[in-house]
Amino acid sequence: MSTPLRTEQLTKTFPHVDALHSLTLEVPEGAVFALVGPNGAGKTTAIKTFLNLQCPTSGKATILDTDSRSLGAPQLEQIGYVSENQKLPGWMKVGYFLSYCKEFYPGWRDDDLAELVRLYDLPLDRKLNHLSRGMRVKAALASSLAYRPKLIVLDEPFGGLDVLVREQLIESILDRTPEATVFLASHDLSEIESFASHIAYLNGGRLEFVEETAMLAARFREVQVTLDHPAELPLGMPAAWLNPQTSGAVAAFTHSRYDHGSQAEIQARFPGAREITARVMTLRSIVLALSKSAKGAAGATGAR
Amino acid sequence: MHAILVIFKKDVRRLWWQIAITLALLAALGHQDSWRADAIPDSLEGWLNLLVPLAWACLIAQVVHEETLVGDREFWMTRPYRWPSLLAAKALFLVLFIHLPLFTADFAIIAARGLSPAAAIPHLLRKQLLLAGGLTVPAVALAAIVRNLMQFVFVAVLAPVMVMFCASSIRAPWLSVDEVRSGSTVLVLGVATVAVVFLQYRWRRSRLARTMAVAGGLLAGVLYAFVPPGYTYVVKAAASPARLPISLQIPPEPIHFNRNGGPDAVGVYLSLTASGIPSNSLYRSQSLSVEVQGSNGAHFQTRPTAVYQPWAKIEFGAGANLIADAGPGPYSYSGLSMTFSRSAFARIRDSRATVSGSLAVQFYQLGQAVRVPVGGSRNVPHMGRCSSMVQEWRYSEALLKVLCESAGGDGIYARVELASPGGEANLAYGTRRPFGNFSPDIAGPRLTWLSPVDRWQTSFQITDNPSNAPGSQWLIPRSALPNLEIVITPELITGYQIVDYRFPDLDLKDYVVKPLLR
Repeated sequence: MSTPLRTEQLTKTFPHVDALHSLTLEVPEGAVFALVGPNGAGKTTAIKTFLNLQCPTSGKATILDTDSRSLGAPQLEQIGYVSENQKLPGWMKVGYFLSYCKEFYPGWRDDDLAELVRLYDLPLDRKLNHLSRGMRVKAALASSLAYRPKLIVLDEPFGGLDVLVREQLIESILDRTPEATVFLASHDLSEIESFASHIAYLNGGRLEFVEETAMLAARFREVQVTLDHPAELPLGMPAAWLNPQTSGAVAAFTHSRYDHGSQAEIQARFPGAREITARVMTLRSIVLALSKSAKGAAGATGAR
Repeated sequence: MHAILVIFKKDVRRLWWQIAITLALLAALGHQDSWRADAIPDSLEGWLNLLVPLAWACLIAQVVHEETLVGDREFWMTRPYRWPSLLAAKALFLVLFIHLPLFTADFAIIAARGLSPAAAIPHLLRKQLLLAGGLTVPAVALAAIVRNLMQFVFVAVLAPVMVMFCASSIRAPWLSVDEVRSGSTVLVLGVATVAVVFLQYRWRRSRLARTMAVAGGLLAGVLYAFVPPGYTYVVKAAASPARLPISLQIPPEPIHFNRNGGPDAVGVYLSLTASGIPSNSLYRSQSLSVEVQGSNGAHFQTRPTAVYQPWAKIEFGAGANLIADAGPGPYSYSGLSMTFSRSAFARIRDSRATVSGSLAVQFYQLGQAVRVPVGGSRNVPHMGRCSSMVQEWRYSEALLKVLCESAGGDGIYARVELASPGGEANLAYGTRRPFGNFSPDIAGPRLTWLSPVDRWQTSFQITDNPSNAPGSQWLIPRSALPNLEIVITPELITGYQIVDYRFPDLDLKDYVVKPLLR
C-alpha cells in the first residue's frame, strides 16, 4: 500500500517561533487521518508545508510520491484542499466559480457536482462574498470533491458550523470519495471522533503520538479503584498509568496500555482494592488525558 | 492553451470596467494627440500622458493580483494552475488591453497627422518594447511582490519620488540623462524585473524576489547616480569614431576675454586653437572635464556627474567653483573659461598650474536642405514633414512657427533659416538655430512621452512695426512674409571623438579675465 502523505523530520521555523519540530508521520492510503491539537499547535503550518504553500526549514514532505517542494499541477489535480483560512474569489458567483474550477480538472464529473450542489443547496447565482461562512465552505468543498481527488486535505473546515451541517459535510466527503485518503486538521476532537481512522496529536509543533483510532480507543481506559480505606498512591506506578490521583478511598488514573492482564496488575498494585472499574474513553477524553499528562511531565521537568 | 484562455476570460470578466477606463483614457489621449499641430501639448493632453500610464499600472497590478503571488491563503495556489499558463494568460491580457490598443492608437495618430503609419512600424515596435521595459514588466514585477493594490500604489509612487529626490541631490535635474547612464540603469532594472517575475511565477519565493527587486533597484540607483557621463561619449566614440589627430593648444598670443565673474570670483580664460580637424568639418563639443593641478599641491577637478554639457562645474572649498565653457565650435568661442572664488584662486595664484582634461567632440554633416513656403509644408529627409504657419496671438505680436513632425525620425538637430524664394539663405531675419523639443515654462504637466509623433519646433517673431533699432534685426516685418521661405537643413551626426588635452606649467595670473564692469 502506498503512502499518499509522508513527512520526515519536517521542521518549519519562523522568526522566534518553532512552528513545527521534526514532524515524522505517514498517512496510509484510504485513511481518514486526523491531525489534532490545540490552537497554535502547528497543524495549519504542517498542511501549508505539505502543499508547498510554505517552504520547510528542514526535513521533507512527500505528497502523492512527490516532494512537496516540487508539487505541481499533476499532483494538485488529485488533491482537494479546503481551509477555513482560504481566500476564495469573492466576486465570483457560485455557479461561475464551480464552472471556472471545472476547467482545471480533467477528472471533473458534472453529475457529482450536480449532486453536491443539490445536497449542499448551493445558490448558484450568489456571489461567494455574499454567502455565509458555512455556505462558502460548502462551495469550496463542492469544487474540491467534484473531481474525486485521491487526497482530500481539510484544514479546520468545520469550525463554527452547526452539528447538522458538519455531519452533512463529513458524510458527503466519505460517501463521494470512498477511495480517497482524507487528511484533516482540527482542534475540535468531537468533530472528527466519529470518522477518523487515524489520529495524530500535535502540541507546540511536536508530534505527541500518532495511532489508529481503534487501537487508541482499545488501549485507553479510565480506571477507578475503590479501596477499603483512604490511602496514598502506591510508589513506582507504571509510566502507562497517566494522571493518577486519589480522593478519599478512591484512586483514579488513565491506563494507556490496557489489555487483558491489566486487571491483575492493578489488583497487585492496590492490594486493598474492593472494586476496579475500567471505562472505555472517548477520543476527546483520551487526548485530554494525554495533554494533561504531557503538561504534568513538563511541569515536573521544569520544577526539577 | 485552454487554461490560458480560461484564466484570461476570467480576468476580462473581472476587470472589464477597468479595461474600459484605460481604453477611454487612451482614446482621449489619441484624439488630443492626433489634432495637435504644436510641440507643446495642452494641459489635458499633458495630464492624459500621466493618467494613462497610471491607469495601465493599476490595471496591471489588478490583473496580477487576480492570482496574488504573495502569501499562502490564495485559493488558486492549491489548484492545478501551471505557471507558464498563468504567466501567459497575464501576458495575453496585457498585450490585448495595453500594448495592442497603444499600437492601434499610435497607428491612427500617425495616419491622422498625415504621416505614413506603415513606414513607422519599426518605430512603433521599438516603442512597444520601451513600454514593456519601462512600464509593463516593472509593474508586473512590483505587483508580483506586493499583496494588494494599495501596497502597489504606495511603492509605485514612493519609489520614483525617492529616486527623483536622490537624483536631484546628486545631479542637476534639468540636465539630460546620458545614454550609458540611462541604458545601464534600464538594463539592470530590466534584468531584475524579469528575474523577479520569473522567480515569483515559477516558484513563488516572495522574500527572495523582494530581495532581488530591492538589490536591482539599489544597483540601478547607484549606476544612475555614479556612472560618469563621459562614459557615454567614450562608448559613442568607440562605436562611431571620427579618427582624427585632433589636439588643442593655447596660441602664443592668447585672446583676452572679458566677462563679469562676480565680486567674489576670479575669471580665468584660456583661448584655444584646435589642429587636426579638416577645415570643412562641422563639429561641436559635447562634454568637458577639467582638472587643475598646482605645483604647490592645490588641486581642482570637475565633478564627473555634472558633465553633460559643454561646460563643467567644479565645487571645492567653501562655495568656490570653476566653470569651463568649452571648446572649439562653429558658433562659440574657442576657449576654456574657469571661475575661481577669490580664496580658491589665492591657493593657486602663486603656483605653476597644469590644466588638463578631455573633451568629447561630435562631428556632423549637413543633410539636404529643403525649402518650405510660409504657410506650406514639405517632407524633409530625416526630419519628417515640416510645415510653417503664422500664429497670431491676442496680446502679443505674431510668430512664424516652424514645426517638423516625424514618426521615428532621427533629426534632432537641424538648421532653420529664412531665405527669399530661390535665393541664398540669409540671416537678415532670424538666426540659425537648432531644433529641439521645447521645455515649456507653463504650469501643469506637458508631457508627450506616449506620443508616437516626434515634433520639433522653432519660431521667429513677426513684427508689425519694423525698426532699425539695435536688437531688432531678428524681428520679421509682416510685409516680408510673402517673400520668404524657410530653409531646413538637417545636421546628421557622423562620429564622435574624445580629445585629451594638457597644458602644463601655466601661470594662471596671465589668463585672469578683466571684468567688464566695475
